[in-house]
Amino acid sequence: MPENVLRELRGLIRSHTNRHIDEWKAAGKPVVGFFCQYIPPELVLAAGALPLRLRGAGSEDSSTGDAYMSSHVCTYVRHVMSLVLEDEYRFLDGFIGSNTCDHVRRTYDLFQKKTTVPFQWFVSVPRTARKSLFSYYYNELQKLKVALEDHFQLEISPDRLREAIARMRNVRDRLRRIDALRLPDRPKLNGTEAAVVHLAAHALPPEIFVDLADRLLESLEAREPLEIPRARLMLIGAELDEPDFVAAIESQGARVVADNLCFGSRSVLPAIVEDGDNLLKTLAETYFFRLSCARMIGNFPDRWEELKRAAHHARADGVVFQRLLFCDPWGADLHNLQLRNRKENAFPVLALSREYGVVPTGQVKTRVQAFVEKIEITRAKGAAGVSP
Amino acid sequence: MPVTAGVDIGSTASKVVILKDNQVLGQVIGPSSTNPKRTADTIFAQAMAEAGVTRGDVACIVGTGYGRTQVEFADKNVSEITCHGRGAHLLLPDVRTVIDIGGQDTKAIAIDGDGNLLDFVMNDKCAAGTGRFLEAMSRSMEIPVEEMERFYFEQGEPCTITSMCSVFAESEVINLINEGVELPRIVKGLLLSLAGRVASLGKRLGIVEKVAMTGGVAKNAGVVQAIERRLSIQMTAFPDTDPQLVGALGAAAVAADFAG
Amino acid sequence: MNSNAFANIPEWKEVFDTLPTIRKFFAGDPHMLGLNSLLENLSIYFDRFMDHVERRDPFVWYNLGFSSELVYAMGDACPLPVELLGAVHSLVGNHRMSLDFIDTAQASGVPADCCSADKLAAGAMHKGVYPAPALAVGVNTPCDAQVMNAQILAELSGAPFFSIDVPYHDDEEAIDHVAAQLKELVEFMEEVLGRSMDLDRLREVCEHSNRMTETLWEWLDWRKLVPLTQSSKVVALTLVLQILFTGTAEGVEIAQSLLREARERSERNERFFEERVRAVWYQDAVWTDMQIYDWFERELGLTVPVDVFGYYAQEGLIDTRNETTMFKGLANKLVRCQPMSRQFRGNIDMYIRDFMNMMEGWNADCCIFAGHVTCKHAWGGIGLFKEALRKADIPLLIFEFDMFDPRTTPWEDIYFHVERFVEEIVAPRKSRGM
Repeated sequence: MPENVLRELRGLIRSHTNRHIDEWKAAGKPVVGFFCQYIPPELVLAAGALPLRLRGAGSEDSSTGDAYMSSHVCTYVRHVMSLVLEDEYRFLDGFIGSNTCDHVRRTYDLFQKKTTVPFQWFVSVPRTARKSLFSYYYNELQKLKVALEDHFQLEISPDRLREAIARMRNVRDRLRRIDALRLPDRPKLNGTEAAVVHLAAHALPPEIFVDLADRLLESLEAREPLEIPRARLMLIGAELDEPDFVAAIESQGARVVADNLCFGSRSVLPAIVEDGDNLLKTLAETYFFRLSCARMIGNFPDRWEELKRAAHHARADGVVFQRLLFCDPWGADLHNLQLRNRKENAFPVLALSREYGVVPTGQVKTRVQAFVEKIEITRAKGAAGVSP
Repeated sequence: MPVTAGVDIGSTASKVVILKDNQVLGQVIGPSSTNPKRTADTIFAQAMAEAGVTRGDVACIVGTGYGRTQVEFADKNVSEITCHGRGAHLLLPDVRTVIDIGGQDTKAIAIDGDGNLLDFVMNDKCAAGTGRFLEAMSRSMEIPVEEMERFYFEQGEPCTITSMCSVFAESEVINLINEGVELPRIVKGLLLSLAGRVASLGKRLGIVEKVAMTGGVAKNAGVVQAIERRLSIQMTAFPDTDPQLVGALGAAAVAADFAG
Repeated sequence: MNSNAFANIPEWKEVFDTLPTIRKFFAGDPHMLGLNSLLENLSIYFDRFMDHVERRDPFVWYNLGFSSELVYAMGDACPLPVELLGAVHSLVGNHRMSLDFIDTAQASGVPADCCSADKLAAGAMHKGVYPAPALAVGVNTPCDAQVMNAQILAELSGAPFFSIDVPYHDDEEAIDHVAAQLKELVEFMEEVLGRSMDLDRLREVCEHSNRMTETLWEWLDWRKLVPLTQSSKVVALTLVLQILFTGTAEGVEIAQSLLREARERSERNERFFEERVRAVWYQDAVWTDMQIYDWFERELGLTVPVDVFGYYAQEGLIDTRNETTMFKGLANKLVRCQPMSRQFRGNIDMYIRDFMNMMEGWNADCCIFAGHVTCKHAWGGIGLFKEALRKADIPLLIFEFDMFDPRTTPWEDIYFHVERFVEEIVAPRKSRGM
């Protein structure tokens, strides 16, 4: 039964940690946390550590984080830092900071001064994915590799890296298959369930995830396809690790059939070639050039074209742009996207601002319901041959 | 056409309209309560009595508003955005933009020549620019919302209310009162500040005339004028219909489509 | 659009109408040399700006983290920081205009919780008040707001776009990384503008830049004297110097006027106010009401000898020997010297260390943290900053406001916060000899 596996996955992502992480630790293996996608988990894995994207799940109140970061900072970051400062992340053996955005950048200061996490390192990722800037990023990853080797007293040999790349590829292969099941008119699983699976991929040792995902994929074969939704939506934006938010959207008769989210399909990078002579460089190239985050200056036009292509591929009736309050990089994208869309009228867009850990209320549901109604009206007019 | 009903359970007021052949048979406005199910039952019964119909006569009922899922006897629930657009169109077919200031949310709604929803923009999460804002201010000034209109049209330069946030605006108002500033000037300032927020929503949507205002706040001529000034437009008023009923009216019209 | 048409659109006309009045107002005071020179050269900049429009010279749009040297080295190209017009309206008190830019930006989809500096820029671009650029440059410093600004600039400029990444680190590698990009930028500008950069011109520009910096260092030394004799507000206004005039003779002239004013006033011990308390103003200035600093001086005896915008770190000048050294020098400036970019971009240590330098070097009694509500990096570091100050036993006032939008916190409230802090905490403490 897919429900059983989904229930298990849901249980594993309910909090910022889970029993598989405990077991990993109990086996004497380290865990290294980080915030951003530009930190390749392969490199951490090759150092024998579990790469863990930090989440604020289970934090009921961000006041400890607020005391250090005020209430003017991203709620996701504040919740994570509340857990960190309350020592809920005490199992971390390492933390890799980055200049993803000002909010995430400042967490490194707090890690340095307020925690005893033994391994701490900072990666400065260039804010533009220009070819000439690649070497800086590559160099930063080389330094990270050396630092990991020094700290964990091992050599990240080409074989180790190759193995780590293969392990992460297995994870992404499963996610790609999950994403494919979302696409049919009557899909095998909904957006909320897909969000749970994606999140679990960031919260579990690769082999544990692969095993659970395989069980899920197998059990889904027998599942009765879901009903045709009132509207097929694509969900985009930055951080979103709360399936409840997706559920609120889907409660209005819509279905999230595709996404471009940091904890979702955006991290499902193309397969990394394992047989090159410089694996780290290949890895770095994939992350630097193939990830498309709003923090990267000047690549909005590419992101826009990619979004149109993805929305078309998913046969999305509309795009929901969710954005955490106070996020500047995605704020710029929201502005640019609306501007382009006014010119090109590519698809209906609904912008939703969000705060981490807040159960979506009637306000979100009303907006989504009206959005769905707007889509239905447009569709009905199209069917009746009336130009919108 | 069959008899249909629209039940609009808002965050402040609840409304019912019973419709047949686009003619209103019965209408009720009552306060919302902590028990939306009971509120819906009560006012629906009142409206049926007024219309002289029984439950069996009503072919389709549409629930809308914040409590729309609590209207257990409704056949469908539709968002108030669609309903306000539709209701406004029924009364004024030339309207292309509807501004609805509700208790929790303020919306700018674009509709086509058939009253269909084309686009909408809503306020950010907070209460600035909503009916709640006026209620909070009414409490701190001890002036009923209905009387604010009278103050608005009295002599005197408006005060500047700078805070965007209703909590801070409240403390600003209290300060002004303690400084002995005349109430009409404060009220004017408040209404202009509210109008500023609403106008900014309108700009985000892109205003196409004609424009009409729905919701309880639309009964306040001061707010209406302040928004007209901010947007440099003339609002079109609903003939003989309470703007607070437009959502329920729209819901009843949508119900007629379903009853078809 | 010809230049007359530009000069006549309301957003520009008001600048041309207001500036002479303000100049006349301050010209009445022969000792306000620095401010007068700034205003005079601002007028000259705007007149030249219109000449550039008339001659159809290329305009280079950029966001405020960038400095203008390289654009000035491209012959007749005119640098245009996109926040310019909104900021000038705010500075001269035309709030109707600056708030209109802010509201326009929000109506165009810039979220309300983003920086008002970005909104001034986006609003102006949406309103079409700037001559179309030949190219645009975006830089990621000093903060996320500038990343946002650069993204919107790239989208709205409709021109070839080049971005510069100033990394988190400030080691030699970081400088080489930026220097290489500046070289790339010059190649890009040469290609787009169809002209080559004149090396002698670059040298001249860098020398101007150096002279301005040296003059500012000397000027800042005079501001260390107790009591302060020169007004507080001019220190924040050096931001205009930084963004608009680095690399020009005008920049040097403004800096020299500031220096002369500070020196002459100190030598004559000429004061308008009785100094009681000295504060380091950290974070953002109250751009919407610069007169508030005069009030602080007159009513509270509070002076601001130094702030983050006026603090020019002594981290080296541009070595003008050759092209390579100049690019490296300019990169060094962007990474280690440029006010804001230096403190806001990296780790919190530099941010705190510079504050401590200012505190000690300028003999301050306290810190006023003027918290621009949307300045995320600053708020993100507020806990550690507070702890550092508590440890050093430095009185700290933290208040929230918006540097370009007086609707967030009216000036009366700012005044109230500062007054209470000075009268109830800092002044009594000083009189107790602490």
